[in-house]
Amino acid sequence: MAPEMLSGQSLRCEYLVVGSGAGGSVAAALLAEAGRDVLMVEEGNWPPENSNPSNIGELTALLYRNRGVFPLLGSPTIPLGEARCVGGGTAINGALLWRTPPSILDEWRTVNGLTGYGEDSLAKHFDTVESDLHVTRHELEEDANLDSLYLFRGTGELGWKASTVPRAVTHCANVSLCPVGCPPCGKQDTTKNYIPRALRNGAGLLANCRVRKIVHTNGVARKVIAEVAGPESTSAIEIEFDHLVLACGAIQTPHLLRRSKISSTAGRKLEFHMNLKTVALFRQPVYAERGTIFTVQVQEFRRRGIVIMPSCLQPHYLVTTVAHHGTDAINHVFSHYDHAAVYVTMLRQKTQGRVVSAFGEQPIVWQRFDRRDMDLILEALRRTTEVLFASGAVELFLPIGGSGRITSPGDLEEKLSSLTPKQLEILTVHIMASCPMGPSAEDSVVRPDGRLWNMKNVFLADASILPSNIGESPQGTIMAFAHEVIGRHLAD
Amino acid sequence: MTDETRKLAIWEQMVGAIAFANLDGLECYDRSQTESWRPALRGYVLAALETLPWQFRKPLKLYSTVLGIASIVLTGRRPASLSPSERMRLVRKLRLVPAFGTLEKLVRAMVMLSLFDVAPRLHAQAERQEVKTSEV
Ligand SMILES: Cc1cc2nc3c(=O)[nH]c(=O)nc-3n(C[C@H](O)[C@H](O)[C@H](O)COP(=O)(O)OP(=O)(O)OC[C@H]3O[C@@H](n4cnc5c(N)ncnc54)[C@H](O)[C@@H]3O)c2cc1C
Repeated sequence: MAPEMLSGQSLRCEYLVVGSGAGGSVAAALLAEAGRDVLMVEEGNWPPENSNPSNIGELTALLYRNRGVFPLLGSPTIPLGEARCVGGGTAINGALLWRTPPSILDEWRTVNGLTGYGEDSLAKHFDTVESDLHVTRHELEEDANLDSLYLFRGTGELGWKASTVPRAVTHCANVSLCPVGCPPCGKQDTTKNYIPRALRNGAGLLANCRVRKIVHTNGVARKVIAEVAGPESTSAIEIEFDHLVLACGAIQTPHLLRRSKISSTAGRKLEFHMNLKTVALFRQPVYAERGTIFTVQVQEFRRRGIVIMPSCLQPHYLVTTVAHHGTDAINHVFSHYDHAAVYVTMLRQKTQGRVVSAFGEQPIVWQRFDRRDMDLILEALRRTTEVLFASGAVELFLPIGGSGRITSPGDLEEKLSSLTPKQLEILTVHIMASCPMGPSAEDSVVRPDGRLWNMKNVFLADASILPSNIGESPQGTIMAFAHEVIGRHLAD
Repeated sequence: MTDETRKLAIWEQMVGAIAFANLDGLECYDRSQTESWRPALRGYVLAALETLPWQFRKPLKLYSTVLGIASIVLTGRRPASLSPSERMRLVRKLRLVPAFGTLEKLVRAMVMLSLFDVAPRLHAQAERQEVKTSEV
């Protein structure tokens, strides 16, 4: 429907689900399958069907918020990659689908006081999600993903623990295009399962529709004021509902709650994972473009909050990763393109952010670098260097601004001796825990059943409700939590 | 300077100059027809800045305008009419200015992301040579 035709209209539904990503799509499917009248609204558009997958810049502009760069302000400022399309983060992610590490679930029980979300309680949801999304282990190959194979062998040399990874893909074309939707693959983003399931069961979906405000009276949310964007104009609409499910992601959900004056504690903290990207040049060819993302994970230090994985390789990503080393480094790496691979070291750090909604339509996020993270970062850089050299790399370009290449672990120590946080090139794609779930209104934003403490007909079902960052890819956990939240509601 | 370039605001010219200065020394794309796609690349970067929330966009435009004016004072020319070597010299000087690093990082990220959408890539022709630990 053209936006002008919607202009000024007032829609009504029993359940309004805002956001169609990992959490929102699950919520919509379960509610629709239970016979409820559901409408989903999504700020972004449908991923394009016939685009050229190698036009990465263009696709990034279509699928990501702010063309892929949302700065988490601080020193250093950390760029966040966040989806804005139907399917949310699942449409652009690496399709890794991990269960929540048991140690994290224990921490949530003992430190955060959250009960009912233990390994056994969530197991049934993980079983369901894994079956719905055709999750399988991505086995090691000899003719593709050589960056993974080399890493795996490197961990063997060192006697470290590493594992192949569970991924939500029916077939992988090994074309290294996960972050732009990967049209040739059978990546199981939510446009392939939960969203069609919701639609088949009578739900509606309004794309290009951004919810701007929630109107509430007497502790009950009544309607939202939204904006539908068309090619040339935008139209304001109102949508009334009985129940509201918010799943806009860990920044936009608290922003909406704050802007609507529903919760001032939402977004007071925002947790995330830090990604440190290293470019490795190997003696032998890697042909890393012939492969995909994250197919092996170094888990030796997972409990300490460090995992190491290979990432996608495309000229765009290679040049972006090495750019801070300067033009000569870019030229050098490119002249050895077939020998180059990009690795990500992901950290479960202490640094947290804060969502600020005082300045209008879009939120600002501040984060304050926690000095205690420096030890973790130093250890992460040391371990990454160690394993990559053991894997056969001969040169590394580390995420330290302008540090140039290193050719031995000894070079690293020299760079680390004077390292300051400001020099670090950190980025993130995992945000969470901005409206944490917990047993009391004092230190959490939602109840254990997913409802806001102060508004009974508003549920949260996205990354914001996790009590803390988890040190592992979060999509599986978000989907399991969404199952639990909606399951509890339907059982009531 | 083309008519189209002449019409650009001073901040847009400045951002374009930063973008092109980051491209000038690169050898990883086919440089034979750069002029034909440079406007598209600059357009991508400018559109990216336009999509930022106003809290970032407005200060960024103001800051780029100030840099553009400084560039006129320093070089006597508008940023869009600088030659590649003048542009490079200017950007080197500006790197000493507070906050320039953040702007350059943002512009560079956008340039690198869109470069291979518009520019033919060369790496396919790169020899599969053994990596030597040569000087970078
Ligand atoms: C490049 C990348 C790679 C990743 N790789 C992995 C991986 O391999 N494995 C993994 O587990 N995780 C991965 N993640 C993270 C994972 O995708 C996210 O954690 C997950 O999608 C978050 O789910 P969510 O429901 O909280 O939000 P999202 O999936 O982000 O969905 C939120 C949706 O809400 C919409 N929205 C926001 N505000 C509004 C509004 N006001 N009105 C209407 N709609 C709105 C957004 O457009 C978006 O589509 C990756 C993320 C990125 C960016």
